[in-house]
Amino acid sequence: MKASALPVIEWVTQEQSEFFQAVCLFARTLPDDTRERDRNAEFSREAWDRCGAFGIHGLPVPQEQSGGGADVVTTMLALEGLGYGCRDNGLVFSINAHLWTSVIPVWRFGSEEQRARWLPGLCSGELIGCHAITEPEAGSDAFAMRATARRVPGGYALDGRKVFITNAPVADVLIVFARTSKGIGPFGITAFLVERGASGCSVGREFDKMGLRTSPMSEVVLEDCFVPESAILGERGRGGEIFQESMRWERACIMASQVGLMRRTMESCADYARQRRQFGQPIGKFGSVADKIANMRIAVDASRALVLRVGWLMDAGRDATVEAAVAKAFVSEASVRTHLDAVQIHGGYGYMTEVEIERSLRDAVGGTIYSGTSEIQRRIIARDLGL
Amino acid sequence: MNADRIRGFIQTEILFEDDNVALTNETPLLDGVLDSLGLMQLVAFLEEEFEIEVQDEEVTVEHFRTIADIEDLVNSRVAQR
Repeated sequence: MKASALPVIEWVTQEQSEFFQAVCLFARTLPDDTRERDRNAEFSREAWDRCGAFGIHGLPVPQEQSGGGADVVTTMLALEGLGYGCRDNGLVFSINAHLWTSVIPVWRFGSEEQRARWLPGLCSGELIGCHAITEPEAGSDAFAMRATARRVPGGYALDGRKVFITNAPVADVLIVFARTSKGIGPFGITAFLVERGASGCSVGREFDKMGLRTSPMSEVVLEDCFVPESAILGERGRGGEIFQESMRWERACIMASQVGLMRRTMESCADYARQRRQFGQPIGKFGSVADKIANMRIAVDASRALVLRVGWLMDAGRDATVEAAVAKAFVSEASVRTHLDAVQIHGGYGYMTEVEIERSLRDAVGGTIYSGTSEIQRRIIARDLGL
Repeated sequence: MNADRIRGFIQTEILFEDDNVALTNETPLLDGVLDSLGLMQLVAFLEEEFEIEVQDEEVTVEHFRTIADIEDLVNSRVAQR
C-alpha cells in the first residue's frame, strides 16, 4: 500500500465509497501549517471556511434546511475522510463540536424561526457554534450544573460560569444551559441561544491544552446576561433532552475522525518501516516493529466496523446508546495505543515535534476524555449488562 | 399499592434486581440509587404507568427523596385527573 493511494472501503455503497474518497482528496488540500499553529494554539478560519464550502458543516441536516442531506453512515465516512486527509486534528475536533452541539440541536429542537435564522449560517460554516454546559463542579455529572436563568421582564437573566467550552472564543452563537427551576438532575434545565456579544456574556480565559491545541477552548462567563423569551431552544425545562440528543450524535460520530487519523498514522508508520534501515535491513523486517503496525491495521478495521455499526443502527431508527459507548471507548483507547506505538517505531525522530506524530498522540489522548470519559462509557456498558 | 409498583420499577429497571440494596419506602433514593439517567427513566415510567403528567418543576428533592415521597406526588396527580 502506498501512502499516496486513497484508502478504499469496499463494504459500503459505491456512492458512499466515492464520497469518502472525495473527502480524503479535499482534506489533503487544506493548509499544511498545523505545526506552527499547534505551537501557538491558533485556529484556522481559512480551513474552517473551506470545509464549510465543501459542505462538511451541515452534512446530516436535510437539504431543504440548508444541509447536505446525508445519512449517518455517510456523515461518518466523510468525517473519517476528513480525519484521514487533514493533519489539523484540532480543526476536525472543532468541526465535530460544531456539528453535534450546535447544528444538531438547532435542527432537531429549533422553532421554524430559529432554524431559518441560524441553520443556513451554521451549515455553511459562516457561523460557528458551541454549547456551554460544563461547569467547574459539573463535568461528567453535567446535570449538577449551577448556572441559573431567572425570569425578568421580556425574558431571562443568565448567571454562571462555564468551563472547557470548545469553539467559544470564535463562536457566533452559544447554546447555554441553565436552570430555570429547582428540578433535580436533568429536570428544570433550559437551553438558550445566546448571540456573540450579548450583554453580560463574555468569553473568559482560553485554556492552554495538552493536545487539540488548534481547537479554541475557553470559559464562558454569564453575568446578568439578558436573553429574550424567544431565545429558548426547545421547551422550557427540557434542556436535558437537548443535551442528551447532542450526546447521542456526538458519541456516535466523533470517533469516525479518529479512525481516519489512525489510518493516516498507520500508513505513515508502514512507509517509515519500509524506508528506515538499521542493521542492514528495513526496520519493518523486525517482527517487533511489524507487529505494532499490524496491530494498527487491526485497530483501524475494528474501529471502523464499530463506528459504522452505530451509524447503521441510527439510520435504521434504532437505539445505539450501548453500541456507541462500546465504539467510543474502544476507538479512543486504540488511537492512543496506535500513536504511542507510532512514536516508538519512529524512535528519537518520533519524539521530535518535526515528525508530527507526537502531536497526534497528544491529540488522541483527548478522545478518552471528551464526550464522556472512557470510565463513563464503561459505566453505560456495565449498566446494560445489569451490573 | 402505588408504592409497590414504583419500587418494582426501580428494583427491576434501575437496580437490575441488585440484592444488596434493601429498598424500602424510606430508602434515600438520591444518595446513589437514582442518577440522571435513572431519574429520566423513572419519570417516564410514572407518566405512562399512572397516566399523569409530571412537570419539570415538580422533579425536586422534595418529591423524589424516597418512594413514599414519589407515591405522594403520584397520588396527588391521580386525584387531579
